[in-house]
Amino acid sequence: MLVLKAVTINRIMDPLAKLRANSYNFYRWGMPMPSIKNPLYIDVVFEGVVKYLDAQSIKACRQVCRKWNEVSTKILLERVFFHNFYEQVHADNFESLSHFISSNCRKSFRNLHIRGLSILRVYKELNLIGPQVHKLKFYRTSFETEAESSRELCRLLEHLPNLQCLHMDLNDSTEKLFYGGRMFGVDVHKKFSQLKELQLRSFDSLNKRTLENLIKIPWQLNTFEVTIDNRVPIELMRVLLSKMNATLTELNICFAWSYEGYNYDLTNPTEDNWIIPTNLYHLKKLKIGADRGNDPQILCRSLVAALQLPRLKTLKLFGESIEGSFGKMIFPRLWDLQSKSLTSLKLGSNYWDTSCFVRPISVWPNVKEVTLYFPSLEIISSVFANMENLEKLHLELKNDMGIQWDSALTGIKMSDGDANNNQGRARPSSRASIRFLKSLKSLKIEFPEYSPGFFFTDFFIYHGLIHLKELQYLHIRGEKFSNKALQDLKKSMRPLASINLVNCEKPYVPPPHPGQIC
Amino acid sequence: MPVVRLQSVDGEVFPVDVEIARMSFAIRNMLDDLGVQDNDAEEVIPLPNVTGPILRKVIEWCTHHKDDPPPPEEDDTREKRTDDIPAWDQEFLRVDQAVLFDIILAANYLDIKGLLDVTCKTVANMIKGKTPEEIRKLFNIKNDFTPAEEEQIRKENEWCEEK
Repeated sequence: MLVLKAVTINRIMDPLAKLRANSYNFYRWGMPMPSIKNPLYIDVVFEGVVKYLDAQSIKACRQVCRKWNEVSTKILLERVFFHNFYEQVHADNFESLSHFISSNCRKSFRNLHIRGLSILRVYKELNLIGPQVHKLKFYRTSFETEAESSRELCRLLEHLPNLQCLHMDLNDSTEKLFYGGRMFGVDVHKKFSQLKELQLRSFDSLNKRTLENLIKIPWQLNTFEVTIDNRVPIELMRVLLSKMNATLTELNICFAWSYEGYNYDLTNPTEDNWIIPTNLYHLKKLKIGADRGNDPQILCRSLVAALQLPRLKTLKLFGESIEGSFGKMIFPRLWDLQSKSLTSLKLGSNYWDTSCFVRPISVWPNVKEVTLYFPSLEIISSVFANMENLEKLHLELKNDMGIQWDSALTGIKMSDGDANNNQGRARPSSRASIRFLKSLKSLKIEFPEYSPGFFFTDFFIYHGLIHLKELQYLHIRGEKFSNKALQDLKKSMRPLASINLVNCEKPYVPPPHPGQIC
Repeated sequence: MPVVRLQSVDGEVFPVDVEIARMSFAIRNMLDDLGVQDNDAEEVIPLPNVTGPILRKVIEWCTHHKDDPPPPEEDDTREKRTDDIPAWDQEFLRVDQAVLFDIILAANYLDIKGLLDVTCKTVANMIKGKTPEEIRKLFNIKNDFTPAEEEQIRKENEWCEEK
């Protein structure tokens, strides 16, 4: 890093470099520099900008000009996968692509995403980029037999000496990888013990024998993701997880849709009956995915144990359709278990039981970040009323024609006149309002792609957003906002705060601030 | 507190505490290389690429941030957050684009990591969510691609998916 900067300075700011190399006398005369008006043409500066961008914006930057393309491509390749190699990139393309990668971004290319194996017959090219690959996503297509797929995976692993992250399907054939130490001349156990991140999608294959073999591997994983279905013996899964306790910081457990928790003894209240072992002292992030038909008690058990982990900061809880009984059972217990470490909470479900949220959420005093997928109004109100320290809120709303979101989120009733006169006087209301979130810095509100009846008007700006004095980032659907209201909002927000309006034909460009030097 | 004197290209001289001036790695290296002693305080260091008003802004920023802990070295390639710019910095950077660019150039020239970071974040916020054409217009950048090159990049963008 430092070397890079020094080189840049030498090139662009010559006199300073000469000063270091030669004498002070030469320098004290000073020397006019070739003037570069736009700093975004300086590689090291523009790199500094791009690292703060999301992939979509980086892609836009690639299309701006040649110079930007050069710099942003390198950073993009650190962050993305090549999608659907098999379908979109044929062998010829793969060859030219690997040459492009090995000559342009030898250092930065790290991720390989492969669907289908035919491409891997081009092993010469794989040798070019193999040592660079740190992350492999590998999914079989229906064209290959299972036997082929495990043999090819072994050969592939051989070509990727520096692999750290692996995402794969586990099927009847690939599960054999874990049985013996060696397979097709590759020391599979050693390979797996080098991994930092592993994602196993199992589909009925994570059986007793496979798990017993997995337990034998000296894991050093930081991140582990696994699907649990009816054939997974929970007690062995627990042993496997507790073996990972020295390094594991992130765990994603997904209960398959059919999971009913056979062989799970719900009458046994002791610790060794919990899915998530209590010795995961380093765990920071936990994601639990549930599905239709799951027994709520099992989810409940996994959560209750997890909230006692001392370093847990982020909890994500997702469910396709967790019915009311789940909420009623689980949340009263969740609230009772105070977690001081938790700072981020993400909840998503179509059918949350809402009564649980009426209780104060303040038992988690340090939660700064909340994401809610398809929440009910009661849940939103409860967050407004109870989490005044919240800094980041992300709502994904249902396309519900029956709800007037302007008034729902501000807690203020709109009268007939307000639709036209959005600055109309606010009517006092006892309902919770987004204005309660005094510390909110970032607000993102999303909605399903096709939702014509869903919009916000100036009313939301004047009775809601404009009161959020700390707001620095806003992402919202904006086609109904007037320019005046947007300008008033911009004035009230922190300078240089960012407003991202979606669904607008012409994005809003704020007027430049007047120069304020000296 | 020992003082160094920094001279802008237009001849304005700013006396600055050594500790504040040393937040610039370029000045720090220079002082170390030259072995400047405390009693050399009368020496003037010319900064031929920075104008007086910009140098004043830079010194103001450094003075306000002189007690900041050094930024951590990061090797994380993921997107970094941009919504955490401190209020003082936001107010400080409430300037038109030409001035913002001059501050970036000065921060890069003088190698002041913290100032460069916060200005880069500011520019990133300006870029986010915009189309290539909007970005070109915003920063007055000329499109130097051939249609074939543009097509190639569009195709490559489609191959990529986010982690």
